[in-house]
Amino acid sequence: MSLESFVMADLGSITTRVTLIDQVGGEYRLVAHASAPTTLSPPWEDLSLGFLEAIGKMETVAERRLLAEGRLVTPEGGDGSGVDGFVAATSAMEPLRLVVAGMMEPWSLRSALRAAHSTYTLVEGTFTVDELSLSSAEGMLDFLRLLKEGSLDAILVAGGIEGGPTLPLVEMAKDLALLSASGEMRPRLIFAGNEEARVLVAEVLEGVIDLEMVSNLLPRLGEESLAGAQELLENLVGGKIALIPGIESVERWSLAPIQPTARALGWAIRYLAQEYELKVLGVDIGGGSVGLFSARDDRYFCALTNEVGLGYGLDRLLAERGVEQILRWLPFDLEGAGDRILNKAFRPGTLPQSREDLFLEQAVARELMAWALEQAGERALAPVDLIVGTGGLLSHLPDPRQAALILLDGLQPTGICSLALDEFSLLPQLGALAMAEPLAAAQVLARDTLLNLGTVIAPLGVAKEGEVALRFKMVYSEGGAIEGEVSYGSLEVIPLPFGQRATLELRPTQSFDVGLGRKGRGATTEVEGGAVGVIIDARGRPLSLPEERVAQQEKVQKWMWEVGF
Amino acid sequence: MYYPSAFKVVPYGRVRLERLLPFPGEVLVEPGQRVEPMDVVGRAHIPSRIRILHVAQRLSIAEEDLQKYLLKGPGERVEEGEVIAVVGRWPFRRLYRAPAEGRIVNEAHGRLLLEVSPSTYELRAYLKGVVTQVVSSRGVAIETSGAIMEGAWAIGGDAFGVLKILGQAPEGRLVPEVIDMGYHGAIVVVESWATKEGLGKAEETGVRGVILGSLPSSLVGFLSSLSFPVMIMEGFGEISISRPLFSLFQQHAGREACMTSGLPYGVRLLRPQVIIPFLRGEEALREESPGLKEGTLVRLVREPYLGKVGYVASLPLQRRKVEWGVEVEGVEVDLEEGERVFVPLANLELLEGSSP
Repeated sequence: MSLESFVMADLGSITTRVTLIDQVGGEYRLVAHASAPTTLSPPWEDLSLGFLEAIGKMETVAERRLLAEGRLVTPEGGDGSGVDGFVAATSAMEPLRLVVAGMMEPWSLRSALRAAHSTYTLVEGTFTVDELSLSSAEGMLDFLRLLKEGSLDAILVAGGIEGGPTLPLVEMAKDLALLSASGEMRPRLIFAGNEEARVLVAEVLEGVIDLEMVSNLLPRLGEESLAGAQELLENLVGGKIALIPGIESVERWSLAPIQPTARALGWAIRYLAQEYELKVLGVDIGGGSVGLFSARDDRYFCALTNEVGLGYGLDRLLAERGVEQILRWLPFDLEGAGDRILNKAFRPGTLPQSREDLFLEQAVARELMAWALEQAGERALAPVDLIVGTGGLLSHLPDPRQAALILLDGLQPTGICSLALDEFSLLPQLGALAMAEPLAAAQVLARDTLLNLGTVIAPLGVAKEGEVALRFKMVYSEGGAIEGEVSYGSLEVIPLPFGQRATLELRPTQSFDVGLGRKGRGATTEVEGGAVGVIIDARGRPLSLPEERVAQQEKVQKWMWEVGF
Repeated sequence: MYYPSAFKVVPYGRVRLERLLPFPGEVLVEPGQRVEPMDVVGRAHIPSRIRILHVAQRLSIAEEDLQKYLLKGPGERVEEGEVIAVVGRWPFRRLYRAPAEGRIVNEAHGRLLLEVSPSTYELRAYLKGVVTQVVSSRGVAIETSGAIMEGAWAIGGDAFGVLKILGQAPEGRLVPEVIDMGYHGAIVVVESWATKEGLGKAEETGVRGVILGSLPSSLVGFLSSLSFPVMIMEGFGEISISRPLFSLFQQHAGREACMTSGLPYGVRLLRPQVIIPFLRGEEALREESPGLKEGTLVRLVREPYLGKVGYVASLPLQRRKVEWGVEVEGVEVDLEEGERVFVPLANLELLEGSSP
């Protein structure tokens, strides 16, 4: 029997979102959605309370009974109450606590860290074989401290390209065996190194450490293979979900195991890439982490800024980047900005009530994205066809032009791409739904999820501020045309409403490349209307802001005006 | 009905304090036992630094033979330069000397793990009461009755001392001129905020803790250099402790109190607390919060009203546009200053259990 109606949930660290899906005219469609604060912190410490609150709100919106005696009504009744199924994703679990070790810092350790940052982990310490032989590495002390605290979930060890030496890995294993035997608990070690070293390492660690082998993270220099380690780490994170207070009563209604949000969102981004043959970059600005999700051809990666989101961990962002780095995105002076950011860090559920506070949160979001990009490295900077923004901040903006400018400033795409907004933060929920009913997920994703913001053209090149970077002519399919030129350092929005199409002819000057690999080469492309229109971003890459604060504010304000708010 | 985030202010109620060792160790008390604030209830070894000693390699012996040559083994203390292992006979002896003073923790694969200068952590009760729970090798829960106030943020661990309100302070601020040896050993309550110099003077004076309304965020880095914990009750900035809380502090000035630092714990927040234990005859203990009602005392926790206190003017919740144009769910609040304002539910905290 096919399932016709669903409730989906994204149980975030700050907000719990729920959505009702039902068949309308033979297709799965979004019917209603609602949200409530997640109830994990004292005095509640029970995630199910916030979930039931959100469902209660959705009952009112949808005028449909979904709860009876404090539980979700399943299956759907003849009177239209209840739903046939329920699925959920969550990011509210404790992160996996890891110590990460590698043979050498620029190679295997970096790959191991990339694998660790692909899911909800907290890297408590790192060390390399070299440091271990110095016998006083800070990372080792972290390792021992965690062992003694009993709070270490796993050690991830990478190192040794295939055919390389195995002795250093065996020596590291002996050191780890010595350290591990002094802890209160038996740690888990994920060995993602040289496959020839496996047997030797296993012999040393047998009886001291629970050992799991995955494929070599760096089989050859320059060739990463993160999938094995990522999958195992994701499974371990899945184990943490069961420990969320109150999750058991929510999980019991679920058709499929509750998914980590990053995994579910990753499904949605990969689906978009495969189904529409696009290179897609997703960005999720969450309360507990910021995630970048890239899918192109058969390649996929996900990078999370764990423990730092638009709420939890903002103290770390402030310490790492400094308040000035955040303030550069504001078009006005704001006294006590550092105070406000820290206040948000320990009251992450609060909402901006004034315009200046809203702009400050948007500035923080830009800096979080910039930080996430730096952590993800070059692989996140390649040109894409579609950028999708999701998460609480982006889906609660009063004006879609603000969302577009935040994405442009934070991600700084180049060439030609489309911008879309996950208006109701549905993508992770659809990823969870895909585990139970892929057709429903695909249909809702195609029809009700993404708000097309418009098309971005971001030519690469340098000129003097004010010099022409690009000339354009847009011919509307419904008749009429518009022509103009865009100068270096500015943004231009060409109106193109929803449902309309146009042919856009681009003629960059000799110093600019619109993504065709050659400066001065023109292009003609079909564009589709959206909430913002066609945006020509001729500000150059990377964006440069004046050092002086007043000039900085004027420039940021000019960009906002150019986009239209 | 669902109610917003609660901020615990209980003038008189049941008090439960969990005291946990930073590392597994030994719990020294039993359930039912009465404890005084300075009683040691648990003890644990803290590794300050560790070194792996590759002894077999240095002595050129097989790893599995090391035990035969060891003079000192796991659990034993060694002095710097002390001989740990000897191979061969005089005059062809090869010695391995301890590179530092410490304790040998473990031996395996021809290596020794040396804990350099390990220290012992002693966990004190910090509360006069009865042990109601022992968490094996981790700590205890102690219960009594008294007042509890949750703070917004704290750093620097826990403290115990006599509560003293900082007097004669300009605008209620902690500046060097207003703190003297009279505050030695005390937990000092400062109505508004502090300067860096004021906190420095508090350090010289030997205070055990400082409780403030707020602090500029620029001082956060400096706080970790202080030897005492600092707690802020309202938030970062320049905000005074709200009236109901400050009245409670004034009421209990001179009593012994305990400060605990709650910290973000993964994606949950554990708030810091001030506990003031005392007995008040037959008066009933206050229990759970009644939720959000008309007239409920609430605290506003986001600009532009951060630090203000007021009463819920009307229910049910309303959806209204805030200044920047998005509709949010909230209530009208009558501020103590007399103004009526609309506040998103997310920006309210119930002053749970507090007396208006």
